[in-house]
Amino acid sequence: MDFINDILLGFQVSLQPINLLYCLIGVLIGTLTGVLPGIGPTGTIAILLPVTFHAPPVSSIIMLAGIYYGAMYGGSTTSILVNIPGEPSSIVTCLDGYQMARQGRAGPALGISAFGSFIAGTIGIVGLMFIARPLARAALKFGPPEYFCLMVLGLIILIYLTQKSLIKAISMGAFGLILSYVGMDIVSGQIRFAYGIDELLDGIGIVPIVMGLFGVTEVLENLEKTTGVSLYETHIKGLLPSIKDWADSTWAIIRGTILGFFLGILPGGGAVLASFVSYAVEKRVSKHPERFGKGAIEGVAGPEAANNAASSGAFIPLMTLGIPSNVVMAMLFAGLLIHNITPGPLLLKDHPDIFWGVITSMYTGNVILLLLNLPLIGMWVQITKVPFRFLFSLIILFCVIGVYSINHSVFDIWIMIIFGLIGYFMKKCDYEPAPLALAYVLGPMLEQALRQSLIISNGSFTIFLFRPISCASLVVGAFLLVTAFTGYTKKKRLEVLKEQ
Amino acid sequence: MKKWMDRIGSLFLIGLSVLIFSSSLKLGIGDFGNPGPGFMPFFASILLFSLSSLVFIKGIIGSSKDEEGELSIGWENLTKPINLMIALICFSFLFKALGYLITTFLLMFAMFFIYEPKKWYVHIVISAIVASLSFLVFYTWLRVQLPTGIFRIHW
Repeated sequence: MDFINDILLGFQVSLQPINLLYCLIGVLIGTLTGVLPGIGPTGTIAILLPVTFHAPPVSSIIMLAGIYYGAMYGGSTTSILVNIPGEPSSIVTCLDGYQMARQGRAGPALGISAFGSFIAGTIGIVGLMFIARPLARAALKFGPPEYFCLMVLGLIILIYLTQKSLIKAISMGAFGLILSYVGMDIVSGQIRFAYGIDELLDGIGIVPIVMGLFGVTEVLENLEKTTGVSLYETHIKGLLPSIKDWADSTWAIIRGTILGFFLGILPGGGAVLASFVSYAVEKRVSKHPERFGKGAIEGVAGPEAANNAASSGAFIPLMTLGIPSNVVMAMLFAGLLIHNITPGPLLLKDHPDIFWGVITSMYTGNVILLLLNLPLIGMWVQITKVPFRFLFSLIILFCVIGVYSINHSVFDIWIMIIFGLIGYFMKKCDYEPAPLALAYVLGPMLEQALRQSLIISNGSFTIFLFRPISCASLVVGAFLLVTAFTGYTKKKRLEVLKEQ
Repeated sequence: MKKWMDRIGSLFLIGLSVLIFSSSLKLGIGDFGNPGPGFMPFFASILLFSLSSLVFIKGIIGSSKDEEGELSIGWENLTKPINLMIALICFSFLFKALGYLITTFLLMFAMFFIYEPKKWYVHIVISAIVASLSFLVFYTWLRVQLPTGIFRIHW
């Protein structure tokens, strides 16, 4: 009965007109973000975070969550029509989606991508509803050692999945940790690494860092390029997939959903990993793997379902454990903290309206996306034609307003500019910003958990080995690092990429 | 070129890690039974130092194949990013003094001009529209406290 009551409470909250409006705004902005290359959901959420100050907490989080899964929908449109993924999680959709568009089948590709996303998103939310309560209950028994090891595992998985140098990804993680320690020490109250700068006494804000790394850096990179985006001239007709398309895609959607959901839960995992794994699985199980890369509809349906299911799954560690599993979740984590809501096992008990309201809003959001996106595909395609000079200028303007409005401080704008430059040069040197941002968010929690664990154990590190969850997390983390450093996975990954 | 970039990038991180390392020692790292405020930064700086040194060494003794390695992003057309940075820095210094409307108008114009210098007259009109509309949305409707500057221009 609890379950039914929870869902009813959730819908009671999410179906309120104000929350429906915020949900609509969120998914529309999310789709726009997904359609437009240059700025992802992380940057968009960072930009809009200050705007939510004046909104009710539940409405704000509903909108911010809508941006995330809306971007998953939107990302596929440009992948299929322009062969440019609006989002990293839509990279694999380009492989077969664009080929389908070239064969005059852009409509079914877009249709199956939208339906697949809807089905996966819906099943993902149902899974979230079932898992959230037992996991939150179990998480209440977690102590600092479990939290520490889970966070370390999350960071290791994110680093493991890095597309470039592993050493550089770990360096970025360490850099992020160091940045997170600027300001007051939570235990002793001592000021750390402020070097006499008053604005650093409270630490460096997450928003200026993220906007610099993901907003300004993207703009600087795109400014270098002189080539424009050309839209594949195709007439989009017949968005509804045929019976044969459905027959080919049904199992791909189901497999993609299950894979995506569980890979989304994994700390450090997420939509990108889910879509790649789903594509590899579909190709492997297919009776005609040679069709992949030449317009196989399963190659669109599976990954699109997987990235949407993963975006639902990613909410589980955030809402139940209070651990953001990727950078977007880290931004939502910041959004909840701004409204004095601490995500974690107590969220369900203290703020059931927010917990269930946000979860059920994802269902209404998925319905809105399906109803709006298919008829509006033409409009989204037109939006990709917005001149870059307007796009980048507006991104910079929103970044500036967003950063300034948090503390009304020009210092934050400088931080954003500095991190924009750092991100730009780091990208040139093949350093990735995601490990830095996640380590920055996890840093204070990681430190607190480690210090508490060591105090409990009188300085003995065996505390991490004698507890099953912490020990298992460390073993998995160590295994991943060993395989990554021995080069086995890199070789495998290159093989998969070569195949694709 | 790539090796040079690796050297510069890793040197920056090495410098940062040395600074944090010495500051952590001053803060006090404590011991394993009672970790101090410098405990975590101390180990994070050692990790950063070790890995960055590795990248630096690889950048020096790497194969000649690496020397020829292409940057993942080219260096061509750097003028636009540099100009944008200059515009942003100027904007940040003038923001409070001149207020949102004037500085945003100037920033928008600068950004449009950086990308396409030819249509400057169109840019003036669009910049004025964007500055006014964004001020209306953020300042008037969303009540974001934007600076009005010494001229106190607002509505």
